[in-house]
Amino acid sequence: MDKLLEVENLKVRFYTYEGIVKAIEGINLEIRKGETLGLVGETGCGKSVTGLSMLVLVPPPGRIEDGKVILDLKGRKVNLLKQKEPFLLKIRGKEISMIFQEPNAALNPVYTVKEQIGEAIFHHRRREILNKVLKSIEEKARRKGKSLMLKIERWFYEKMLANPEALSIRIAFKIPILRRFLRRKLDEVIRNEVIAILREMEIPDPERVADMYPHELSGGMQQRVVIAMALACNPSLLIADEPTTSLDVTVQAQILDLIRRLKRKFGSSVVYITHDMGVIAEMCDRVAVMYAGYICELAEVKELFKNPLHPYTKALLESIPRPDKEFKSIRGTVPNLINPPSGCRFHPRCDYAMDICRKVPPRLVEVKKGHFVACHLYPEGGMGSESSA
Amino acid sequence: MKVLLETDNLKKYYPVRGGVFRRRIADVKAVDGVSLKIYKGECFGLVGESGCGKTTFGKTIIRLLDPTSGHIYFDVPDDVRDRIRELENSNSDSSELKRLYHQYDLATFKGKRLKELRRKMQIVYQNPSTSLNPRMMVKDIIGEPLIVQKLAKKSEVEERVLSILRKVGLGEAHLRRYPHEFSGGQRQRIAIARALITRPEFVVLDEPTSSVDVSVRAQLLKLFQSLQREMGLTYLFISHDLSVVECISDRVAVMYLGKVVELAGTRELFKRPLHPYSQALFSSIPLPDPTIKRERIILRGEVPSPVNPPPGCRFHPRCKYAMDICKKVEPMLKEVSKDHFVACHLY
Repeated sequence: MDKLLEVENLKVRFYTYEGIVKAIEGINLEIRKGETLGLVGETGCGKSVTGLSMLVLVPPPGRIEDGKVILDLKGRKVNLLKQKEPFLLKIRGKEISMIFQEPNAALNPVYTVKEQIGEAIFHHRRREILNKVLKSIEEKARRKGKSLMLKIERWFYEKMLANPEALSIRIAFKIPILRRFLRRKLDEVIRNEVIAILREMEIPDPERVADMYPHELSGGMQQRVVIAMALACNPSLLIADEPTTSLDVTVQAQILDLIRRLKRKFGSSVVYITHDMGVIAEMCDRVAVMYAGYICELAEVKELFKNPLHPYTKALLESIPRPDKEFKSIRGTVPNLINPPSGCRFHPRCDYAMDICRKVPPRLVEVKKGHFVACHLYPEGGMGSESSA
Repeated sequence: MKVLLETDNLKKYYPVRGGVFRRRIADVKAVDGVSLKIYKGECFGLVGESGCGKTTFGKTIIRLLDPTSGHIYFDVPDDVRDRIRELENSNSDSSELKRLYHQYDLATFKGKRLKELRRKMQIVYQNPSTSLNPRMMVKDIIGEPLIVQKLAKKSEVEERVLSILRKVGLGEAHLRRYPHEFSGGQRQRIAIARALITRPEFVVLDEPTSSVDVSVRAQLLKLFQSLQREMGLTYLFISHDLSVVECISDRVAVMYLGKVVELAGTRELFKRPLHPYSQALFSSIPLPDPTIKRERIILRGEVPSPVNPPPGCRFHPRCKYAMDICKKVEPMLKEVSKDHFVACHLY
């Protein structure tokens, strides 16, 4: 299958007062076209930072130290980490977009739903939107006959289409009365687009919701608006960072259903970040299990649940409460990433830890076809011990 | 089995104020007529979506909130309870009933008697980082109930604190630290220790595992179980995480918009939910097994506002089996099979 995005040897560090947090230590991932890749792990294992790195959005004091994020832009391979900000602005939201965990925090409380989604649409589909505006002006001219107003409007929008940075436009937008007059048509078109998208998200009464502020909406509705924003430009990759953790199960079911349906419709790939194994089982094609900045296991979802190899994956699956079994927990806690344990970072909590685990960090090796694991227990397929050099 | 706590048509309304004089213009009917029995030594699960009134119910029965109406009986002898019920039904001699209410109904307790009861009923909150005072040391946080309740002399406090800390899996080294020095799971252990130091009989656990990771969650659940066995506790376990409730509870009640819609033994309820809302709720739990494909009931719409709940059955606008009667008559909780109660006109 074609690769859409490749992450190679990614390293992210956070420079805090307490020391350097080694959040991600050289991970390799590939996302294929049309697949859903799950990223699971406990809090602080680097799953969200991995997601943010794909958008080159790691917040300071974090820094991407090393590695490549290669995006396939219709055949052209681009390393996003080498690109300048203006280029990235065109990519974010259009090719790769993100759904954040807290819809409440992801939405701006002082703008209406229409304005927020409209901003994303206008930013990425400027040409298309302006053409639509011109078309509507022409139609009006045909119906009502030509007037001076329409002439001015047409001149203005044609100018905007040709050169958005033109001085006359910048000046016009600085004058409140003019701006209001000129934006009327544009707002109308954008509003219609927004309503169409909201309808797609199964939001009841989209005309009313479009004019609401985020606080007037329930958590589930807010999350739908965030998803609408992310999907406004049919991105080829959608990064969903725990989109349902703050929601109730019934609402979660609705949202998961929505993401799955939209994914099928637009054929996008999805990176689904969560700590809920149940959601992973339901949504994903392949799963990467992360621990303390490493990927410790990567496999097809069915294979992973049937035949987990890494001790951490096993422990994680066993710690899911099930009524017929006594639950097991993983002893100890997630290590501090300022001073991570030497060798395999899981060894202090691992039941099978050997001497080699304390010294040599294991490499991700293919044990079975499509099943990768980073653990010294499985040396057969790869050369775990050799990588120490 | 002995009933430890019983509520009778318990209601808690929050006023919505408005207008020039901040008049009461409406009520948020958070808990609207809940009658439940919790047996001694059991873990009673309470599930439902956010805003259905689970937490309000938990806080009301231990009198952290004052009920609007209804009765709460805590550890009342059976013969007294029978007598109250008899008097209520007969509707005659009201002075004896009043006296009994005054003596046994927790909803009427005040001052000293209420304070005495507080030692028997405790609560562990959802988020330990907000329920622990950041400026107090662990030994003061956990020891404070002893001092307030005058259960121990100053000199004994530290010893008692240490013994309870050991029980929840912490140690002497943690006594003189502040809450921010602990991880989420450890903080929740401190909150548990604080709740248990007065040796309560009844503990309300209000979503105690929702703010921690999966592996820590399993540790905490194990701790709850072992403490229950060791100290003979009765739990009210409030959660929206159904898989957790399934593991830890003996009986489960499902709440929707301030009402209990279904109540049954855990196994029975999860295997055979009867109320359409419970069915939808249980079918939306994501199962950690990719090979199982099942029919999922997806609810349309949203939970209506508890200020103006729909007439009749509160679930009828979202129910696919809704009949005419559902729009008019409110269904009562009735026993369909043994120990399985459901409030639905279908049964």
